[in-house]
Amino acid sequence: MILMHTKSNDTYRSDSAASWASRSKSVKEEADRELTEAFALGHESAMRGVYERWSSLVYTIALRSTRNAEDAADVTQLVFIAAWKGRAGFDPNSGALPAWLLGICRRKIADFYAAKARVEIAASETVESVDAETVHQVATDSMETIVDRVVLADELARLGDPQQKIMELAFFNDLTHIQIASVLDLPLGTVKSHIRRSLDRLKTRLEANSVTH
Amino acid sequence: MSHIDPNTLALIALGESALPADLDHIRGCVMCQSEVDELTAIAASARSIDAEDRPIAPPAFVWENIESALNADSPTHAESATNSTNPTNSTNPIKPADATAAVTVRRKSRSMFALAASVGVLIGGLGTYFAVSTDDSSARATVVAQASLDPIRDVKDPASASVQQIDGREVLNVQASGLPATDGFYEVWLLAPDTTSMISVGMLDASEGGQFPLPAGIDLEAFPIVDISLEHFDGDSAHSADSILRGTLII
Repeated sequence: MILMHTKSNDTYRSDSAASWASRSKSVKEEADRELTEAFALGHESAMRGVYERWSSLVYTIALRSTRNAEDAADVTQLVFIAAWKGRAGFDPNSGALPAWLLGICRRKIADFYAAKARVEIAASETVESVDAETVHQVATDSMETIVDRVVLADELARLGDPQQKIMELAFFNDLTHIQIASVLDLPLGTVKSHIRRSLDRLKTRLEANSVTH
Repeated sequence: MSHIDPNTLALIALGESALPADLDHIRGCVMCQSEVDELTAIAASARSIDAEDRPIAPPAFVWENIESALNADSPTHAESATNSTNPTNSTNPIKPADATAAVTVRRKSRSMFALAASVGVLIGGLGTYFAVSTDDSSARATVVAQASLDPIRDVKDPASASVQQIDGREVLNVQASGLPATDGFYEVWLLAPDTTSMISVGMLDASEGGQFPLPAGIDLEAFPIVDISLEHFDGDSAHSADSILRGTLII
C-alpha cells in the first residue's frame, strides 16, 4: 500500500536543505540527505524510505532498552508515527534526521520506563520499595550507552570495505595497523589513514546523535 | 616541536605503541591530548559493541501498523481508514487523547519470558487481527491489554497476562509456568491501583496458566493490576496477602 502523495510533483531536492549534515558526498550520505529533504518537504512517499533507512536503528535501541520484542515494536511504531505527525517540527538545517528520530525514540523509551517504574512502585507494597528517581537515572544512563553502541554499530556497518574490515580488526581483534595491513594486504599508509578517517566518521555520527531536539 | 600526525594520534587512541617523543609531546600538548582522549572514548565505546547492538529490522507488521495509522489520519484517505482502522476502536477503553494507542493492537508485556514467547504469539495474533479487520461477521479476538507479571517471591520465571476480546467478551489469559508446588492453590485477581479493592477472577492451574472470562462491564482501568496469590484451603475467600506474581495491564 502506498501512502498518498500530497505534493507528488514536488522535486525531491531542495537547495535550502543542502547544508544538511556532513560535507561528505558519499553515495550513502547523499541518499540519506535526499531522503531527509523529501521527508522535511512532507512527501508521504519519503516516509517509507525514512522507515527503511532508520527503523532498524530505532527498533534495536528500543529492543536493547526494553529487552522485549513486543515493547520494542510498539516503541518503533510510536516513534515513526510521532515523527510523521511532528515533521513540521523537524528542521533539516539544524541537525540530521536520525538524530531527531533518536530524540523521539529516547522520549518514547523514557515513557516506557516511567510506566514500568509506576508498576514497580505499585508492587512495592509487598517487595522492597523502589526509588523512582534512581530507576529513572539508571534507565537514562543505560539508554545513552545503548544509543551510542547501536549508533556506532550502524555506522561501522556503513563504512564499507575495506574500512569496515579494518576497524573490526582493530576494535574486536586488537590487531595493530601493521598486522591489519598484512592481513588485508593493503599499504600501511592506506590502513593508517582509513583508521583515522573512520574514527572521525564514528565521532561525527555520535556527536550528531547526541543532539536532542 | 610540531603537533603529532593525526593518523598517529588515532593509532595511539587505539592503544598501539608510540614513540616516547610523541608521548612526551602529547602529555604537554592540550590539543593533541584532547584529540587522543576523544578518539580513545570512541574506540572504547566501539569496542563495547556486542552482537545484540547490530541493528536488526523490526518485524514487518510494524510498518503495516504505521501505514494504517497514517492512512487513517489522512483526510484524503477516509475510505481506506475505515477498512484499516483497528476494529477494537469502538469497544476499547482507549483514552481519546492517546490516539496513537489505538493502532497499537498488542500492548506491553515486559519479561524475558515474554520476549521468547511473544514473537510467535504476536505474529499469530496479528494474522487474526488482519483477518478479522476485513470480515466483520466473524468472531473477533483482539488483545486489548497486556501485562508482564513480575515475580514477587519464589518464582524464577516471569509470567505474562493479556486480555483478549472475543466476540465482545473479555477474557484474561494468564501465562505462567514454574510456579512452585503448593499444598494450597493459586488464585487470580484484578486489583485497583491502590490494591485495596479487588476482584477474584478464578483459580490458576500452576502448570498451565489459564483463561478467565471477565465479568461483563468490568472497567480494566479501575482494576488494572493482575495479581496471582497463593491461597490455602482455609475457607477464607479473601486475598491471602501472599502475592506471588503481579503486573499492571497496559491498555
